[in-house]
Amino acid sequence: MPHIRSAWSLCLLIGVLALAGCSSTPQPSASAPAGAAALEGTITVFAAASLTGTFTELAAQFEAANPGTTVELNFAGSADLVTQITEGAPADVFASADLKNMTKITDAALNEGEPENFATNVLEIATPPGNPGGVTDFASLADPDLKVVVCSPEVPCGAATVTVETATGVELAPVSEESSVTDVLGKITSGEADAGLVYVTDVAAAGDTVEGIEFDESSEAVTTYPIVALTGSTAPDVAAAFAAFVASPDGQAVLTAAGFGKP
Amino acid sequence: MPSTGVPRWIVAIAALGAAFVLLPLVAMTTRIDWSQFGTLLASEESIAALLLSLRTSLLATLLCIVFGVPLALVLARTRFHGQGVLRSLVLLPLVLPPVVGGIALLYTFGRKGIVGQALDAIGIDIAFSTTAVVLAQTFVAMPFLVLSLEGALRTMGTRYEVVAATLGAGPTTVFRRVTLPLVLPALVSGTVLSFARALGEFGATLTFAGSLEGTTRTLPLEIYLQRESSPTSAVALSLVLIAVAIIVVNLAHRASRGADARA
Amino acid sequence: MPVLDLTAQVAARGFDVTLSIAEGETVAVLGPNGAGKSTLLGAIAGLLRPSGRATLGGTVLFDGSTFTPPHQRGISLLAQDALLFPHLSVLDNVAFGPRSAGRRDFRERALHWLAEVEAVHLAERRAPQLSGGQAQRVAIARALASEPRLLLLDEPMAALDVSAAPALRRLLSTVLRQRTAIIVTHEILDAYSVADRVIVMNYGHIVEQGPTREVLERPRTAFTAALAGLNLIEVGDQLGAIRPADVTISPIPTAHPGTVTDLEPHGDFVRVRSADLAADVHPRLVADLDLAPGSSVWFDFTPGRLSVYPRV
Repeated sequence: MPHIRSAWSLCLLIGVLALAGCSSTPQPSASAPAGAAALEGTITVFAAASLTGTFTELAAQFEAANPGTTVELNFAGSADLVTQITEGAPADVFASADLKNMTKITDAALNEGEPENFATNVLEIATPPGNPGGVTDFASLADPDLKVVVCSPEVPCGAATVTVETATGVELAPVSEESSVTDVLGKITSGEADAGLVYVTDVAAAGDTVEGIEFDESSEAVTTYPIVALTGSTAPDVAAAFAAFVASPDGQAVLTAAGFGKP
Repeated sequence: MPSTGVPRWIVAIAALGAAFVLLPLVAMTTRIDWSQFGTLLASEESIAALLLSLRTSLLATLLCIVFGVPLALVLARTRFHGQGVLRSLVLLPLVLPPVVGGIALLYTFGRKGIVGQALDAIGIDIAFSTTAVVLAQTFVAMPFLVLSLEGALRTMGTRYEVVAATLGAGPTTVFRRVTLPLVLPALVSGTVLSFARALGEFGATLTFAGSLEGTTRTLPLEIYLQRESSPTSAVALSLVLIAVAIIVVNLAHRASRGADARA
Repeated sequence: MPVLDLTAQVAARGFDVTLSIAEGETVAVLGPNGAGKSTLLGAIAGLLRPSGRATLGGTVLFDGSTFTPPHQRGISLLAQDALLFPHLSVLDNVAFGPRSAGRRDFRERALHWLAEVEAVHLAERRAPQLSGGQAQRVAIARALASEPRLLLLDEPMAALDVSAAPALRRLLSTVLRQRTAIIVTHEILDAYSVADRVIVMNYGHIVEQGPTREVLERPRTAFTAALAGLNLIEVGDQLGAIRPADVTISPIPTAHPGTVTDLEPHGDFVRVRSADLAADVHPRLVADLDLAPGSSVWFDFTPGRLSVYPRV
């Protein structure tokens, strides 16, 4: 009977619409603006090693909100990444652990658009569990009997260390100046070093394997993290969208949770 | 010189192989800023790193000889239970990633290591010292010497030693006057390989000894560090390392040929 | 008073030997490959550890509890291969023994022994530059220079070519005249040239031994007879030996029939073998009689040429 059929169809249609309405969650800013075509494509993101945990999470969120996109990640020291990019490695986005390395990219005009600062980081003292060296604050690191390990001045965390030394007037005599934060952490977790200077995010990520001691003077040396999309990308929209996502409030939430500061 | 009868297609493949090795070296020289080359090499850091590298490598090579020769003799000329296992373990550093080797050394000689603890008790600290560098280099380089020598000892057999014994020479005299002179060419080439390996050692040094100018920052570590601020400086220093290696290999090749001629 | 007294067993090789050697005696050891000749030398020189006991002069070489290492035995070994140390000159090679013994006049001693073997002119050369015969000469000098109480020679002429062997044989016969030595060889000519006594070995055991001429001209076993190149037959309750050259093949029946097992050409004669006898025969006769393995023949010889002697 035509009446009942059309009534049923109407109910069905209403039901479907209602369901569609119920299931749609507030769209995160990761997805394309309403009305634009859905994002599609694969991008490769070159990110500083200290961003490993956070960017893996951010990439997963971005892919979930934008089915049809794939985010490949490459983590390494910022200087290494710059070398690879200038030598023609296929990167679509670059997230650096300091401004100095980003400048090398902009100087070479390899950026698509202006870099945007998306996070900051400060230093924290890390010791093996139990703090066998009895470290209390930054000044106590100068104790000659203490085995202190820091980053070498050539790398961002080392540059920050030098800045704090200058600002506080305390000169450290480390037993080793490592080329990466990972190596500094390694010496601490193995118990070889009594203390070291790493980022607050590294202490957070290391969990129980280290003890962290925050110190006020760390604010003297704030490391700023910029991100930018690169030229020659095969999926420029996706690249730009990802960079924007990282700088957005949702992206910021992930970064803050890991211990990064606001840009 | 009469034709050696090497098929032409083999020569062609050999040429490809040679190109594969030589082209990267050539590529490096194209990136050198020759105007800066002199000042770079004369810099304090570079000289400190080079001298440290030479000192430690020579010492490590000496240790390789002192311990490697007896090891090779025992492996080649004696028989006991578990000999096969011992041989595999002695050659392990050849296949172990150097960083893993460094970690192993750390767990042995570090402050909390099985030997390190005892040393720590009597006030000897190995980690972060030049001693640690020498140990790391010896660890990775010794298998080269043992391998070269053991092979030669096996091939040589014991016929001459047997004759020497029947002529009244005791074991030490036999070793000194018959075994060593006969195995000299293999000893020389093994020593050269060990020295080259020690010179280029990086991963184990980084993990075990740390990186401090003049104490533990060997040339490879200095190169690694220079990458962070100036890749071209890194390349220039790399050339220095290559030059040293070439000189050493050449000298040793001549010495070995001289030994051959006298034998 | 024997200088060397030995009884040794190596179970794995089926080796069981007892022998004594007197001072100044040279003993030749004959036997096929695998007979245990090298094992014997190895046991005496200290390159093996057999069970049993051996003494040399007053020194115990080995017994159940002790084992004297080779370099303390005062026994020199000369092998087929001269094994001159390639990195040393001829002079330094010969001086090696005295020098290891701590003698200061090692150079003079070396020159003395080189003179004994007429090789002084080779003093400054190196091993690879010498011919086989020259190298063995130097090796003898080297072995003697260490003044061994016992000299062992393991087929010293085997690797030399036909022209070099005679000179070396002559040298050895001079050098070994007053020496206590054991020479292992395949050639009975060597035994005749230098040995006072002959030992025949097979399957790790001594089969026969005695003065050289006695063993080689009056063999007691078929095995030894074969080594000596003699026919051995029974004559009543005694033994008779005759050289194949003294045996012919007869066209008419004789008292010694046989079936040909082998024909061995030796240039201008053919050795016709059968189970009991061998005869050296002109090739023409072989062709005329159409001899082949399986042919029936009659052997003949002059009774006077047969040497008859008691079994024991």
